[in-house]
Amino acid sequence: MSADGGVCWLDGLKKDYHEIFVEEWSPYLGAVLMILIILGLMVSGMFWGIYGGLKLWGDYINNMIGIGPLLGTPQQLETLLMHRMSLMNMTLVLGSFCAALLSRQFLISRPPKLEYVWATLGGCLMGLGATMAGGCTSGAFFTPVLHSSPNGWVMCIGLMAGAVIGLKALLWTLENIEWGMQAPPTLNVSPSLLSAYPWLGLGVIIAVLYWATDWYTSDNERHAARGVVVLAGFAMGFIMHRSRLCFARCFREPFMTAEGHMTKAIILGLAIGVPIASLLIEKKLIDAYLGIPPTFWVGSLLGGLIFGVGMIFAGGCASGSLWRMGEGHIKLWVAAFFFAVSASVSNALLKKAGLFVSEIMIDETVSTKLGIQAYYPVMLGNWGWALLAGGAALLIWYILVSYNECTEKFTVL
Amino acid sequence: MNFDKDLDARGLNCPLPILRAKKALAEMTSGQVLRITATDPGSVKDFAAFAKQTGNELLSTTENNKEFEYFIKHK
Repeated sequence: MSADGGVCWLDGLKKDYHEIFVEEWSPYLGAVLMILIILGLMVSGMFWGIYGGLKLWGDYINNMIGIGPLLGTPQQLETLLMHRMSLMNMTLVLGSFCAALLSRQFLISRPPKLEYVWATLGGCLMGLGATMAGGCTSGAFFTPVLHSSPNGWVMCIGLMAGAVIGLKALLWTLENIEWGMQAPPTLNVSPSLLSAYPWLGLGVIIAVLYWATDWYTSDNERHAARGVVVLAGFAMGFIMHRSRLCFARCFREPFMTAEGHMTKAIILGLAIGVPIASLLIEKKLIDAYLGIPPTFWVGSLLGGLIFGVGMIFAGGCASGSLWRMGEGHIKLWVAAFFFAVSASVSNALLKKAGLFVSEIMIDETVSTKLGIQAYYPVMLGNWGWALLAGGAALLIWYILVSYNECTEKFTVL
Repeated sequence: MNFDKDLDARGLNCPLPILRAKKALAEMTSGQVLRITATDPGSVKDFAAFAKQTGNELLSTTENNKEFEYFIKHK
C-alpha cells in the first residue's frame, strides 16, 4: 500500500468516525432504532419502562434515610442489578455516557443555583405524576400506545397541557426571579483528557459487551435472562444521546418554537411500532396487559398533567433525564434523585389513601380508583378497529404538529 | 464580533437558553446583536431552529473549549 493510500484510508476512517460518533443523528433515525429495541424487548416478553426502576432507587434512598418504615417500604428489596427496569436504567446512563465520551461531548456541567430548585421541583412532580399515571413518558405513554391502549393517548393530552402550564410558569419566573441566575464557570477539560475520551468510550463498550455476554451465557438463570436487558439499556442510552431523543422536547417544542421534528420522529416510531407490536401481542410473545397500567382515564390524565409540568421544570422526562445524566448534567442528576424519592413516597401515600386498591374485573383485567386497563382490541371488539383508532390518533397528532409548524398557532411564547 | 447585549446561558438545558434569549431579544431593538454563551450541545440545533422560526438572523455559531457561542441579530 502506498503512503498516500494509507493517509487516505486514515482520513476516511476519521471522516466516518465523525459522521457516526460525533455528528448528531436525525431524531427520525433515533426513533426508528429505539422502536427496534423496544420490539426486541417485546419478543423477549418484556416492555420498556423507567419509572419502576426509579421507584426502586427511591425505596432504597428512603430506607437509607430512615423514612422507609414510616412509608411501609419493604426492607427486603430486589437488588439494583436484578430488578429489570433498574438494571436497564443504569445501562441506559452508561450507554449515553459512552456516546458522550466518543463524541467528546461529555462535560460535568454545573447549572446556576436557581436550576437546582427547578430540578428538585420537577423531579418531585414527575415522581408524583408517574405514580398516578402508572409510569413515565416511556411506561405510561409510549408503551401503552404501542400496546394499543388508549391510556397512552389520555396521558398524551395531560402531558401537552402540563407542558403548556410548565412553559408559562417558567416564563413568569424569568420575568420575576433574579436570584441564582449566574452560572458557575465551565469546568476545564485538559486537551490530553479530551483526546482520551474516545478510548475511554471504547473501553466502556468492551466492558459492557463482556458483561452482557457473560450474563447471557451464565448458568445462573436470573443472570442469563438479564443479559439482553444490559444490552438493550446500553443501546437505548447510546441512541438517545446520539439523536438527542427527548420526550419532553416532543411535547414541549410545538408550544415553544413550533418546531416539530422530535414530535414527528416519535410519531414515526409509533407508526412503525404499533402494527408490529400488535402482531407480537397476537402471537402471544408478550401479554399486552403487562404494559397497560390500570389508570384509564383519571390517573393517566392527571398524572400526565403533573408529569408534564415536572418535565418542563427539570428539562427532561425520565429517559431524557437519564441520558443527560450520562452526558454529565448535574441538574438532571438532582432531578432524577428527587424523581426517585418522590416516586417512592407518592406510591406509599397513594397506597395509604386507597387509590391502588385493585379489583379484578370479569375479563380478568385490573381496575383501581385511578382507572382501568383499557385495551382497544377488547373495547372496540377487534384488531381492525383497534389499529384504526391508534392510526387515526397518530395521524391527527401529525396533522396538528405540521399545521402548527406553518402557522405557529399553538405557541405560547 | 461586536455585540450589544450578552447572555450567559452556561449550565442551562433546553428550554432555558431559548427562553432567556427570547427575553433578551425582546428588550433589544432592530439591528442589535445578542451574544449567547451556552454549554448544552443540544443548543446548537435549538438556536438554528429558533433563528429560523423567529426571523432573527443567526450570524455565527462557534465552539471553543466546551462553550458554544452564538451571535444573533435582532430582525
